[in-house]
Amino acid sequence: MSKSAEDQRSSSLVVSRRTILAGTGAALAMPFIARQGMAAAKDVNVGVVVPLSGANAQFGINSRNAIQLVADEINAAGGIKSLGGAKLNLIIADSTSTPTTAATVAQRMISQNSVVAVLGAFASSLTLAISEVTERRGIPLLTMSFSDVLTERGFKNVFQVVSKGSTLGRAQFDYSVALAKASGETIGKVAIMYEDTAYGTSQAEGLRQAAKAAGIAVVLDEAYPLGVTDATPLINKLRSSGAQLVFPVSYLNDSILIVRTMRQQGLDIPTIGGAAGYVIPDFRKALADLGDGVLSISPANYDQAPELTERFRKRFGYFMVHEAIEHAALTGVLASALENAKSTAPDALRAALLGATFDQGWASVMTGGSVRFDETGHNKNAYPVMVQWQKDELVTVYPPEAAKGKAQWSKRG
Amino acid sequence: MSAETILQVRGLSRRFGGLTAVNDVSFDLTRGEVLGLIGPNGAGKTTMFNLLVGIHRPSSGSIRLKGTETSGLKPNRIAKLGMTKTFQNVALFQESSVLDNVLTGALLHHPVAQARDAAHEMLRRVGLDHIAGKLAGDLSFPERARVEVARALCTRPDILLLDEVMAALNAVEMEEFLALVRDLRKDGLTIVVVEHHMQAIMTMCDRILVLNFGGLIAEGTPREVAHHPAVVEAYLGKAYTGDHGAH
Amino acid sequence: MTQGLQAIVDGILIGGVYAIVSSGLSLVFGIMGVVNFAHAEFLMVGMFVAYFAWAILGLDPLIGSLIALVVVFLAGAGLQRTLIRPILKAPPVAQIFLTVGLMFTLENGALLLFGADYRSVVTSYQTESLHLGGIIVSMPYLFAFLMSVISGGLLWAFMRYSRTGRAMRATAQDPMAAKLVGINTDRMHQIAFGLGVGLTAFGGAVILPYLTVYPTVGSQYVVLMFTVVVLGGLGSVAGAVVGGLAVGVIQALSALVFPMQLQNLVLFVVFIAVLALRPSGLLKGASA
Repeated sequence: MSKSAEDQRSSSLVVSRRTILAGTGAALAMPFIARQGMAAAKDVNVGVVVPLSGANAQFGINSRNAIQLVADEINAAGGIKSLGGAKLNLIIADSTSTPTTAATVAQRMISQNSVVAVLGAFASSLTLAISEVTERRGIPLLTMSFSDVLTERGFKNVFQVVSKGSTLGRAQFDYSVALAKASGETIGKVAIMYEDTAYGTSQAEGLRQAAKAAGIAVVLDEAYPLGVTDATPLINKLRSSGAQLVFPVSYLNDSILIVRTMRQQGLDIPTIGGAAGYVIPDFRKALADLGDGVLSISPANYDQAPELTERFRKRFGYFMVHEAIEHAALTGVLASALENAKSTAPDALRAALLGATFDQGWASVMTGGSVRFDETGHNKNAYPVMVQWQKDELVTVYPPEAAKGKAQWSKRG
Repeated sequence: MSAETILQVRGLSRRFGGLTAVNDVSFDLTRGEVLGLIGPNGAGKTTMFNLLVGIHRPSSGSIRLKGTETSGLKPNRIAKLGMTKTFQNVALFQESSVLDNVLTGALLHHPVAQARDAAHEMLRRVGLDHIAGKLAGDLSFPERARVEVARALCTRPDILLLDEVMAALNAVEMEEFLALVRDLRKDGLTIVVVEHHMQAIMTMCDRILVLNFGGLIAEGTPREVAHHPAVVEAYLGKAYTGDHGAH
Repeated sequence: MTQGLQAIVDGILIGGVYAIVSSGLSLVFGIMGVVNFAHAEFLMVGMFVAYFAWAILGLDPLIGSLIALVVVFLAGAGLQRTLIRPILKAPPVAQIFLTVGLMFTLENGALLLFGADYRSVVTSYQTESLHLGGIIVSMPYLFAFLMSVISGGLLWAFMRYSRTGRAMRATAQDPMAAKLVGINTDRMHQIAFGLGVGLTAFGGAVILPYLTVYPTVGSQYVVLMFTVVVLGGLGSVAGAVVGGLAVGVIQALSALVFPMQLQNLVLFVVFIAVLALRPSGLLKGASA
């Protein structure tokens, strides 16, 4: 979801010069497969392919930071004990925003660095490209990309730690209705606004279906071009639609314009974002108090396991964003599986990944407190949470078993 | 008429590739005189004007305006020093009014408010004040030619080069124009004209230079030039009686 | 009815900004005959200048816009002298290469310096609006519009009445004749380019309170700016004003009837129709 949004972003700005740039960037980036240092003979090489340049770079950097943090902790605690204290040696490469580049660098690290598994690649389109390579070579690919397709093609080597996109869309809708009900409001009319990219369109489709299933009218269903410079017409339409709440599906820039324009026009209906631009520190930085009370669905949140996520904040200076949480969980799961497998052979590792519930250390940072992959490689313990901006923090407010604070529904929402 | 030498041209040449458009020409201008520049088509008259006002750079030679060397200077600098020209095809600011055209010339030496007064005065003097508000692009050719002269005069030049300005005028307008020239001479303006209209040239000029193939072939009073054998051969092709030019 | 009125009000408010942003492009083309493909990047530069004036000096972007104007004017004048002047007499293809190259340089330079982050300012009037009957007039849009109107008026008066403005218009119409009445046309070109990019930067700064700035924000405006300029008549500042307002209102009205996605489609249909019926733009013949 937000993942495909990010790579849509770069590809949908269809100015040809951008394409040229992307191509040039890809060509330049390929040789830069950074090594974390010379691997000692017994170390375990783990591939990390995330976007470190281009529009998605910040997400790639967040992900890398998390993986680095967990690997450092595991190595400091003696490495993988069943492998004689082998250290996790990260082989980090820039996927750029181009699927072919992502696949190429993954291929190269499998051939040249003998990585035992690959972590990546944030954006669904990149992950899909990499999964073709890892499946062919029988190497486990551990990912936090949202796309439903990833674990629905019968691939044996893809492990998806987050709720799927369709689940997120449905939860965004159902949780909202439930929150409204809890505060005594019956929802009859909702609005959907989304950027006209694959990400926006698919999430809007999920919301539409959920509304249909719940028998709730969608009074505004509006796509808008990505990178809109004026949200006023959109908000005018929203205002006259009489919707009781709005689901904007957008990335940071558009989400800032939308929320700000709503506030300007005094439109205070609850706003429930679809992750992406709504759950990152920049959202708060840009909107300050205007963002207070905005809700969003999220596949994970840092307040679920603060004793772990605070280490991230301490080291990097900002709260542990969801892609960081998920990549940290994947790194923790991989370490435990290696421990259990007592081998770096792909078959043994795959069996170990499928064969246990991971609830120790960083593996417990995900929603549900543990990771358990079903036979398709999907983490069946994961569920989305509803988070709300309360001052400078994102607070989990739904479902009740995960909630760390009370939803402020009436307060702008 | 004082005897002050206002312009000194020495050994002036200009080559375009293999073609020598102006070849080693030297002459002086005295303040207040009217000099004619004649010669067959392609003799180098317009190139000479362009060299004097800085549109072209001389290949060699020197031009001294009131004692200042001007070869190599830009046209706007030379205009500021006191020498400018009008164009054979007339170059006005088409989308501006007649007043604005003339006013733009006056800005060289005046702030905007005084430039406006100066422009109005000039338009009255040249008899164009009735069309001051018209758009330059809407004028007839003779009107445009006169506006251009008015604009050039507004820069308060010491030397004004007129490139075939009379071609556009009818008999009445030409009389008016000649009267204007006489008037301007009284103010000490020095004028150089390129003109094909022989009668006008002979009437208005004190002195005439004859160019052929870029070189100066004759110089003198209208009467002297008209009877100069080289001129007769090169330019007129047949004997010119000079009667038309005589008073 | 109210909705239509609201859309027209919104369209005029945003169209005023389009006008001032585009008049800079028009000025450069009108006076120098150069189609500056890098022009929209100066909008981005202006936004960044205003952003940092806010972030570091605590200045409101409406005040920062004056800094943006001055800074970008000077930078533009310098650029004109070093890069643009040598290619003024070059074939158009050389001018295209140069300005497109400049566009890349500015955009990627900003990426290098500032990263791809979206940045925005916080102001006191950001969420204020006037309610007039059923019509909502958003304060940041209103302020941006007023700043544009004021600067547009000053530009008009400057071009019409001032010595330099008259000299610039003369240069635009006939550079050689301008030189012969003593106008330093090189200087006029330099001022025109500086002023052109400065105005666009100013426009970028005044819209910062309701937008975000990022290195590629210019690309969101480049097509819009060229549409405005061509619609109003290439090279005419008055045309840019008419074109800007027209584009703003068309966008707002079409969003009322059609999905937002088709906003620019409607705009381009109108654009093509205008080009077909009035090839020299809505206002033809009006100079600078």
